[in-house]
Amino acid sequence: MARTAPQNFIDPRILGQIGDLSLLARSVVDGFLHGLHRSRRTGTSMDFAEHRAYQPGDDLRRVDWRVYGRTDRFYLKTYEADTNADVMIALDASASMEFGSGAVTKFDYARFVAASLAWLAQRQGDRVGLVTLAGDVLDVVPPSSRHLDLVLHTLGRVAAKGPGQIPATLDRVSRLRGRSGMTVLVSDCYEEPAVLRRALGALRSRGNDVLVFHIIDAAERDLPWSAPGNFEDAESGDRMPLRPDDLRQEYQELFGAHREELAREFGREGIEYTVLETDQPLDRALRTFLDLRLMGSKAR
Amino acid sequence: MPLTFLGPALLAGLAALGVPLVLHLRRRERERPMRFPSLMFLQRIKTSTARRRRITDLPLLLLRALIVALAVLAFARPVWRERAAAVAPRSARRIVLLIDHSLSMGHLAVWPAARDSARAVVAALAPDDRIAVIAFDDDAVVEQGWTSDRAAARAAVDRIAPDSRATRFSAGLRAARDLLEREADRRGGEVILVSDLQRTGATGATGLTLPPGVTLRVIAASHGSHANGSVSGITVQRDSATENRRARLVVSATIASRNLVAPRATHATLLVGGRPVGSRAVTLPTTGTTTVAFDAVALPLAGARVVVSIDHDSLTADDSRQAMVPPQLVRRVILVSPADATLDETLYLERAVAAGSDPAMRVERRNAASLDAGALQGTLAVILDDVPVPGGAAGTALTAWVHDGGGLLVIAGTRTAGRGENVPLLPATVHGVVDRTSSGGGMLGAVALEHPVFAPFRGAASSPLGQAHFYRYARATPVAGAEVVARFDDGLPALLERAEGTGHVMLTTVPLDATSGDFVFQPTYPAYVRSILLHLAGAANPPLARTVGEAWAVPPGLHDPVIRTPAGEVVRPEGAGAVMQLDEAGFYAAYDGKPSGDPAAVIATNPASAESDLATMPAVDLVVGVGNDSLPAASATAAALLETERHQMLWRTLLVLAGLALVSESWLASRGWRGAAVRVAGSEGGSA
Repeated sequence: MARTAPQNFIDPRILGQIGDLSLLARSVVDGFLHGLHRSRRTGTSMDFAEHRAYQPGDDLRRVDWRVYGRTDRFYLKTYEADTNADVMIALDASASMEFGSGAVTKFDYARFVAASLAWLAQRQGDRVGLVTLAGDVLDVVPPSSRHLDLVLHTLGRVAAKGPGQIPATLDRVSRLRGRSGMTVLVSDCYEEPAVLRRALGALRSRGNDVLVFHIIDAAERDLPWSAPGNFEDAESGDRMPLRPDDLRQEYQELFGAHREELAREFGREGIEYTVLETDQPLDRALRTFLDLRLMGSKAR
Repeated sequence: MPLTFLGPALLAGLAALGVPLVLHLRRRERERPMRFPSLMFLQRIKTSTARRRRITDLPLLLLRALIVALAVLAFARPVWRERAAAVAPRSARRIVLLIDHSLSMGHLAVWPAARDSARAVVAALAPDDRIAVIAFDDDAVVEQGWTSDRAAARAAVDRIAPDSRATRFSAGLRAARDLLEREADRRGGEVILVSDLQRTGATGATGLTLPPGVTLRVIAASHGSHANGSVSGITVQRDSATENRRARLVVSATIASRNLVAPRATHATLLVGGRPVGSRAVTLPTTGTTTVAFDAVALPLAGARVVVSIDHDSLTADDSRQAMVPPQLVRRVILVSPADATLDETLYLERAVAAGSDPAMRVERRNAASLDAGALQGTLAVILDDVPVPGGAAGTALTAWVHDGGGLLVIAGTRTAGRGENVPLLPATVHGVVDRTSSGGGMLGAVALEHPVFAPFRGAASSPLGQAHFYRYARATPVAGAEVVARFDDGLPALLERAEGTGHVMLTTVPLDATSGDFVFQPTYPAYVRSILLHLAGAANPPLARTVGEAWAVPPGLHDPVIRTPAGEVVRPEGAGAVMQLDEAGFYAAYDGKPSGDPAAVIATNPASAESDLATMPAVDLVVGVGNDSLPAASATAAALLETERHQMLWRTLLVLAGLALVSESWLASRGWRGAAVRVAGSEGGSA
């Protein structure tokens, strides 16, 4: 019996048929890591890094009892290899995400990405959290090493609806972050690039590494239709009678210019910007995340 | 216009062309919008998106409209007329020229126009056309059979003149139909009707159909309803007073006027025996009737020809009306009564017979033995008043006289009842007398009011003969073939009748004397007696006038009848009892042998009063009423069009084209962007 190649598990057309996000994420990450032929997990190192104050939820076995005996305070000993980072995934759950011309919608694809990132982060020993954004902050799962299931559960039930307004909600996210870490924004980025850059810049200024995954559907990129018809804005409900044939070229130019503007603006702020198209495998997102994660600039 | 349609009304279906347009626009309005992530970029392309195109797919719309138009045109059955002419050459034309020559056509403004129209039809004939000429009023006469000779047709038209008869379009149309159907070549034809289209003549025309392919064309000789005044009726009454022992006549006439612009003054003149004897000034209303009464005049012994006329107008034929008042004859009734009869037994009967003057009756008393053929000649009726039917020669003569049409009334009283007679001539055997003195007398019970004898009593609220009581009456038993006309309230027959040859015998057990009941004191008594006698004699009052078009039975007493018509023409009917058609208005006089001296009989004839109503009808009413095949056609006949349509079958071509257009529409609608269905999650795919 032929076995399915692990790489196939990161093909979105196949992932769309998997209902269990936990299984999906594990399959994606395992397949991805198997393809790398090495484990990124290096937790066996015992190189002491620093002490840090105890926080509720920390493993009591890591408490340095000698320091406690001297100071009467709880401190944990941290080591270089298993220094954890807070990874907060911000998922755009606006109605514009609920669009798809292929096997999966942009929102499905974004959820796959988020789940896979959460799983991968968990395997890397990071604390994973989640916020969903649609005009406001809908769901908040604080970063924790034990919140993977909660993150996956939240991803499983959230639906894309409502307006976008990412910049305003990102400001609230930045205030939620107690300490620096990594913030991953998964969105279709229908915002003015400068405004979005300023919102993400606030996170960046708080010491976060910011990674933006721009989810794009091929149809919204190419405007492939020829039939005249009424186009309705998924978020505002505005309608426009259009003949796509007459608009296609100009639209594609505007759409491309928007992406370039996003890249330019985010580059100025040191924000990692990656475009993901819904018909592409997920490994690009994971690789980008892992590369940024392993640069270790902010991992503690 | 070379292209015509057999069903032009269906072209109204072209209004359906709006349907694709409306559907197109409504579909576009109702089309489910395509949800798109964001219009952020599209809204920036203002120049293109701001323009709202109402019709988004003009080629498809035009194609769908073309399908509808082709289908509608196909169902309207188009015919290419230039080809029609080729298929149906003019040589096939058959024309029946129907000319109305009824009384109303004699209007001064109508007949010249009608004649000119008929002549124009003849003049327009092609050399190979065939025509037949029919003159009609309420009957139709073929004046000229099928011919291609225009001179003969013209002569036939010139022979026709208005008469006094009524209009019946159906008569002319049936004659035309018969003429067309008798032809071996039945391919189409045209009936051209020249008439004033008098509305009263349309009776019977509705539903009449012409042969297939035959069209009806109507040429109206009258435009609008003309004004007309006419004498519509005459009544004559005999005055009870006399003048030099002659009866006096009181004549009144009804003058009708229709569609006058304003009330018109005229004179009504009365002529009796050809001499004017009275005149009255009359003002006719615009529409209505006026009654004119003339002074009483003495009735000539030989009867009187009465004419009432008014001043002539444009239609003169109905400006006078005739009546024939018969001479005042006293009819003889033979009364045979018992020799021992008292005055009370016969006085009331004699007075009842002599009462009245229409007709006057005179009682002649005779004994039974004196009855012979000579005595019975000219007798109105014979009454056997409680005497037996005579035997011997008198009986034979009486029986023969009855058999030849005479009327015999037998009064069964106590004398004859006691003898129990059983005579074959009588309708009943009489045996015995019913005495109801002790019970206050009997009354009439069941009465056959439909019998002519009781015609004067049909309006009676209770018993026809009033509250008459009968104390003694004969017991009668009907014989075979006898009819019981009335019964007493005990069920016994009171009046019976039996036919004998052409005559009638009636037997009454109702006491007609003053000794057996009080009937003689009832006001109904004289009427009962006279009604029985008039019925037995078959002597109904002759009409004052007859209507043109009726038939007249020549008086039977003439051995060599000669009839002088109102126009002065002498006609010899074939023997006595012949029937003559009354075609003219005026007086018909019948002579025996030669038309001179005093006529044996005179009758008056008048045109139908409805003919004086000159109200017309639209030609289309007549054309539509005659039948669907008779649609008016200007030049080409419907038959030729039908034939051509069958050959051309343009409808089939149009339907094929519509089918091809439909296939093209289906192909076009499923190709390119129209058929593209891009599935977009959360929205409908792109579709037109």
